[in-house]
Amino acid sequence: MEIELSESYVIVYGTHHCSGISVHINGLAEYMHDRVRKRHYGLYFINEFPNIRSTGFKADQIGAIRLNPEPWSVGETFSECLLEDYKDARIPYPGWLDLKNQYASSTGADLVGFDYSNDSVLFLFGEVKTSAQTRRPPSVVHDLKRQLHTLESLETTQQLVQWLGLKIKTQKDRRDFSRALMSYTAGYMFKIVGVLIRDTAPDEGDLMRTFTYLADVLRPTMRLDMLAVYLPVALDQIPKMMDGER
Amino acid sequence: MSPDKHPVFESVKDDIQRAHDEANRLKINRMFHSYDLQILGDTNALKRAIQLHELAIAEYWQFAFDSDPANSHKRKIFRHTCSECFGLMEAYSLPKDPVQMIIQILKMLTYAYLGERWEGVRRHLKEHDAAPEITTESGWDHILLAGIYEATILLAQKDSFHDMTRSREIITNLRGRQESLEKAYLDSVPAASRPRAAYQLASLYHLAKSVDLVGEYMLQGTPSDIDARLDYHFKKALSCSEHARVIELEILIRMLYATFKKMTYNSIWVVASRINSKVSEFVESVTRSDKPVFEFLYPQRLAILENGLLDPASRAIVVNLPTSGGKTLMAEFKILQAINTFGDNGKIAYVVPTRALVNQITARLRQDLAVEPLNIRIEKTSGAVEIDGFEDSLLSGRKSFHVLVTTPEKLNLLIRHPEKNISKSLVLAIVDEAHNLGSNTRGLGLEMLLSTIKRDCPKAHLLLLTPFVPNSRTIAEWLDPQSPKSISIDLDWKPNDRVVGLCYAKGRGRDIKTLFKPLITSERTIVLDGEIPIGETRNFSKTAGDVTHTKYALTSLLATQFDTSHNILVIARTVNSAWKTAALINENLPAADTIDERIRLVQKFIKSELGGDFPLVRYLDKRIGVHHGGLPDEIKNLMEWLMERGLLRVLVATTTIAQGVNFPVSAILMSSYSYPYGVMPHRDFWNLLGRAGRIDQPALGVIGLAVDMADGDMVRKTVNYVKEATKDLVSVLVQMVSGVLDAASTLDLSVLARTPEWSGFVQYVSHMARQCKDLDHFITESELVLRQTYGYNQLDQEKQINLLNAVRDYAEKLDKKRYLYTLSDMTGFTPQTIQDTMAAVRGMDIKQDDWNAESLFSSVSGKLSGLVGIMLTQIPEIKDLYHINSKSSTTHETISGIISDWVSGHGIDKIAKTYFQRDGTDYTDAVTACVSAIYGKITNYATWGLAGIQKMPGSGLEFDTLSDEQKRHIANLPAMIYHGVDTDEAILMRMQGVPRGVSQQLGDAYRKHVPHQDIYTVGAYDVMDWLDKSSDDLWRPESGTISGADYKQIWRHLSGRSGTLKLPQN
Repeated sequence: MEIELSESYVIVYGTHHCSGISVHINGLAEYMHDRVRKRHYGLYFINEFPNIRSTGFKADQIGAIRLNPEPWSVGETFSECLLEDYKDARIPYPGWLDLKNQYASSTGADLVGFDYSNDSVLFLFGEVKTSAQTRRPPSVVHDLKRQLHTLESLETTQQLVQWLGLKIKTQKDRRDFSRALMSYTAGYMFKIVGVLIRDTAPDEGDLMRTFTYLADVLRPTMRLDMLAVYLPVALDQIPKMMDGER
Repeated sequence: MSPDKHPVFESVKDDIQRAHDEANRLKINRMFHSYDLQILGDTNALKRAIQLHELAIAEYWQFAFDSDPANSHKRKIFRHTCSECFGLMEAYSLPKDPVQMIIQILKMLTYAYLGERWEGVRRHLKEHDAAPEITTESGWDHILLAGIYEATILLAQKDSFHDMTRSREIITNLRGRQESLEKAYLDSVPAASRPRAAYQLASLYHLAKSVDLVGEYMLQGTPSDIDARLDYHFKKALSCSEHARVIELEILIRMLYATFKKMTYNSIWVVASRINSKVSEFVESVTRSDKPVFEFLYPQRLAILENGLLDPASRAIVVNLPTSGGKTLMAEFKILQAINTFGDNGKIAYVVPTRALVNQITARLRQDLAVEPLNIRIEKTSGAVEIDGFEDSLLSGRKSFHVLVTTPEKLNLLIRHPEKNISKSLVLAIVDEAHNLGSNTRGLGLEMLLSTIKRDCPKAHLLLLTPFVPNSRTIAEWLDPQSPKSISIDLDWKPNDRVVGLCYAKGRGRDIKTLFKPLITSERTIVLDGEIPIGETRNFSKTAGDVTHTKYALTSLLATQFDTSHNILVIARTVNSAWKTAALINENLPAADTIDERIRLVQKFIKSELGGDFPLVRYLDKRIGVHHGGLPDEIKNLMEWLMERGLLRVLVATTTIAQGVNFPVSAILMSSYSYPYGVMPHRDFWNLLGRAGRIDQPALGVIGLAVDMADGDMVRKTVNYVKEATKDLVSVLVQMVSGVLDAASTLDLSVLARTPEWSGFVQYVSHMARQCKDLDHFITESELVLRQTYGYNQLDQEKQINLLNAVRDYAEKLDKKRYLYTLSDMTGFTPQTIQDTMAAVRGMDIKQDDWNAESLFSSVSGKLSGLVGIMLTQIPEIKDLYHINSKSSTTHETISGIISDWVSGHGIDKIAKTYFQRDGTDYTDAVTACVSAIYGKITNYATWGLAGIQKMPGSGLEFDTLSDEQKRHIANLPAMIYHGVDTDEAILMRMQGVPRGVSQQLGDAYRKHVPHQDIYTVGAYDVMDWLDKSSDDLWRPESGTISGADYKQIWRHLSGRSGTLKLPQN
């Protein structure tokens, strides 16, 4: 299950890295339908609402709510798969959203996992943005910049690390967690990843300014990796491809 | 870095240490009020340290409920990190945002539970009333969260049965509000986010259900499959929160999952299902009592559930646990197990070192076990080394009991007594404060008691409860070589943080600064660099010079500098210095705003007993109490009661309080760590210190040792003293044998028998010899007899041979006088003492008719005076009777005069004036000397001496010619000295805790109430019920200023009846 990718541009700034990746149409449908779909529904397609009755609370109102996969979340799953398959990363669980959210803090990251590049294990925190706009750069890049900058904060990452630590189960994940934790606590070293998914031709200008800005302001112990993914199909086709409509 | 530290801290250990220091400094500062608090250090360091701890905890999260022996070290690190994290969070301020506040408190709850410090967080929650403001407008999700929080906090505080019920009601109430609030909430969320919002609610519903389940389980032990149900709801809550994708919710759910699992794991109901029906009844009863118990403390759970405290195969179990580890509950489970196995046929002895503890433990056991449907009968003996008529009746089987609370000396007498059969029916002996085995004054007696139980009581199991005994395993091996069990609770567990340090003063003239310098100790106490200012004053009534160089003045000043919400124990070196300290504190403390009515009641009692001028009455106006050997037992008991209820601000006591009191304090200020006869052993010191910072006490227990910094030697000694580790417990017998053999080549027991310290050992040998049919038999058995003792096994071979030969020689010498063995067992004196005393008693020509209260205690007959003379000259065991500080030189006439007045009901005030107040001397000093003489010497030694003499040939008594009732009346004569009354009925009242001033009149009234009943067979419970219901008029003392109702109230407190105690019917 592979797709064809080609690197359209690469910008290197110290230890930081930014690249444009073009996705070829060959194999994309299969990749979406098999790899991405499995991950996406493997985690989401469970309706827990009927179980509410076992709590003594009523399930009627909540049970009436329909659950449909949302396009942006497919984009996110797609990014997770790409990072795992092509970028020496592992994202054990789907990331977390800022739900505007009831629990006050805006803590959250779309991507939480491990980065294995450079023969080490670091925590990886990242954000994914999808855009169907044609303007360059698309307006979501502004949000991406803001959110990636937030990931520099100890408050945010501390909670993400805690969350990951409480959740992981396998011995391998535990070992990776311990190694990444040492780098995190001793030198505040971790990786920040920003992904932009859009359905236009590659353009260095998409991320250039955001990347150089962040590369300047982030602490030197952090490694930034920005990725612009250029799809060969319209963005709204992705959920359909995942669900098998070719 | 400590081996218990998580590796994540390695690179930042200095930062972490700074944060701990900061937290500790904040906690220490909070203990003092007069210094304007500076918040030292920066809270960022604290925050960072908390975050790092949380990450370390997350990394080791898998070990929270792991049981693989290979991971025990990591489990320990995990527990330690959780405990430390809780400690840091305690000092850290709460966020203002209500949701964040809830999350922080619930996290703290989790860390406390996983760090085995649930009692710490319980105390913290009570101290800090955090009320997150969530209103109906906040949205259904927040209302749900707030409800779950409130219900969880009630479960964690578990103040009462009602609290736990209330917790469940909160969840029920949430269910009732769901329909309307849920709809409004979902409508307010954008359509795209609605599924996630719905999942979030679903997750909270499962969480709410989990709280409800835990509440039900804590209340009634159901559902029995609580684990499976919690698993189900938490898995659902997690699955829903994963769909909702709210990170903090998922973290919170995982935390609460662990907390609730731990809560149910700690639950006292866990044991109910595993042991037996008696235990189930007990558990049900304690969860519904006034001071309910829902959860085991860590040491209790460890001992009962994990280390086999209730394992019937172990005949002797030594539990080595920190002070405050909840040992009485452990003992209660053991009692229930024994009763379940042996029913009414087995007797249980609960051995405590002092008569104050006899009363306290009896009251506690009655409160917990003498209730429906358990109906366990708890009786106590007096502390006197004699068996009075009532005890005789009890032991001869005329009254039934299950548990007898007693002292080691008394139990020794009961077991050795040839006519009492307790040794055959004893199935369990619980020895509290068993570290006394190493005590120079009482250790040998306890060792001989245990050796005797091992030999004489074939069915008896032993449970020794002791703090600070590193070699508890060796003790267990001595007691049960086949299957020894020692349960040592981790020494790093502590109910609370503690800091030990030097207290000193600096200054000039009226300007005085007081300072505290934490010390490194052998125990895990908090250490900080540098000195911490406690307070500064210009208004103290002594100068800086006085305070700097005089310890009593320093501790007095310090006592006034603590925050008024704390209660402080001040330890003075002597009785005299205790009075001086109390007076100085009184002089410098402002009057208390309000005085609790219970303090007023105690004041009335003291006024009535000792007169309105007695200084303690005045001191109590400022909530200052005093506790030492110069105060009557009742008053000491009332001081303890006031302190336990948190009503006293300061209690000034002498070091003797280290033995046998059981109330918690916030701080201890010590002018001395010496007993009157030498430096306090480290075990006793740490046991005393264990009273500071106990459960329900503030976050930190402060122990200040007063020093004069100019006295380098004093400072050095103090610093070294607290650093020295508690040593192994060794037998006193070893020291005694070595002591003699260092000076002489052999041991001669017939000579040594005349020294009080050897009496216990000689009696043990004599008792064992009595049980052998002849000398040859004893010679054969003698080595085995010696091997039963702890000390013999610790001696080197040469000394063992020496001791064995001495024992054999002694038995040979006495072989022709075997009747002395029997008398020794009946009296608690050595055969030598008996031999000497018998001759003297014969010389007095006492007649049977002389043995009645009227004649014996009358000053005219002179018999008592003669008998006291014999006691002083012939009985080394009670020679201390002579050490009475009366106004003229103490003679047998003085002592018998005091006894006569005491027995015939004269008040302490009158006796003090007659015998102790010299012209121009202080009345308080006279009362102190009088009480020390009566309670410290006469009630112990004269009682014992008289009881012993009664049993000797030549006493004039021919027991064969007496009826049982006459025998019991005669046996009660010594008890009259013990209780200070002169009728049997009054003794009966005194045994139920009735103060002496009204026991005579109440005894008479009781006699009229049951004119035809044999009072020797009435149950304690009947008498107490009658007293409880009796009219207040009966309680009004003939003289004195206190009303009958007040007197009765005093009795209720003294006898432990002030709770809602329900006693079973006979």
